Amino acid sequence: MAANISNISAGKQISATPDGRLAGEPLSDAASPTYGRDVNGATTTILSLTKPDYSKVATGTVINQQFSPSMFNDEKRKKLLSLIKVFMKKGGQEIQINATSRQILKDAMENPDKYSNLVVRVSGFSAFYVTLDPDVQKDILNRTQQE
Amino acid sequence: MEEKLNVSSIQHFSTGDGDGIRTTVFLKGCHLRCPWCHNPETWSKEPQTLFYSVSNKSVKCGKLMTVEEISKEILADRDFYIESGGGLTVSGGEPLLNPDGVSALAERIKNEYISVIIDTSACVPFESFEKTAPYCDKFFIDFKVSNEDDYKNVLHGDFNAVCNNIRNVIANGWDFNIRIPLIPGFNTSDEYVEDMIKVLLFLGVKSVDLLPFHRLASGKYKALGIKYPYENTKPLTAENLKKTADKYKQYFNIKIEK
Repeated sequence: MAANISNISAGKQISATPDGRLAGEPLSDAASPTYGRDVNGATTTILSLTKPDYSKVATGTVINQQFSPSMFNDEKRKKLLSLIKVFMKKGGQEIQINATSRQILKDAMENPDKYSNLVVRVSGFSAFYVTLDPDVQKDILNRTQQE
Repeated sequence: MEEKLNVSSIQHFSTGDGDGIRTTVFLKGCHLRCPWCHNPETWSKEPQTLFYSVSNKSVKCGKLMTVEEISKEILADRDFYIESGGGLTVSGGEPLLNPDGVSALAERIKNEYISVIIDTSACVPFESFEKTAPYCDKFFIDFKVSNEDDYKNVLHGDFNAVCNNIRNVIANGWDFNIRIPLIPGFNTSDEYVEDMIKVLLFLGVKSVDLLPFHRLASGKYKALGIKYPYENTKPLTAENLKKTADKYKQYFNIKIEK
């Protein structure tokens, strides 16, 4: 909705919206989904976000996606590359990929509602971080710090 | 009659269930009770609600879906499969408890030239393999214990069925990966690993995937109100993982799933 952190200040001035966003909460950042709305995986998010014709828009078309650090290792890195390629082929303009930082995981423990889309992955199993037991969340937090 | 499948969840952008970007369909219903199981919500065939007290959220699991309904969701990600060499993985639960439903789904997806993997305990009648093999690129076969007693007492299944199925899969020339969960304190001691290796060599297995234990599932157990015996088990240390992996490496091509 609004780019370059202006989504936060704009959100402060805008009352509650029909999608369940409360008054004063940030709007979605640029073309990214609103916090916690993208719950069906990165492929679904990309299919949805590449539907508009971005050639008609000059700015604000970036999307931000978070991944756990294990996505950047060896084989999984190639899968991430494929994801980005499909995004571009479908007319996406800019995608910013972040490794989920320790700070984000900490914030997610305190504010689970903001992070219902945050997926952590290990060994053939993935989970929404906020659904995990606090102990396990700490486990992952510590592991992330090591990597 | 149109086949229906009992779906626990459909996970897009699955990156740990085979080559490329995959969609994993988790089916409900399993006759085994591996105490370290990561998907306890798939044991029962009945619909269930997981309640996460930490985030105060309820998640429903268990929905009968037709092959067409599931296929539509799988095929939405076609471009990602083509770009990455990915496809569909059917997991669970034990998918081969419903060989007719799974083969109907696999056939539908194979007809679109998309890869299909079936993830099974192999503790099922061989007919279930025969029915699904024509539409399946590869079976993932879980191999968790080294002997009949452990399979019976710990997992509540029949070890001989698993071994016979592995032999038959090899004899038929079907592609498969052996997947070994490395469970601290259970199947990672030197002695136990040696037993595992002996059986696998005897069966004619050439390569294995190692899946180190993690306890990500403990939240799901709490949400279901089930006691998790492995709640306090720590993952293998990097050093012990390497030690165990090196033992398997002497005899097999290995891959460690991280």
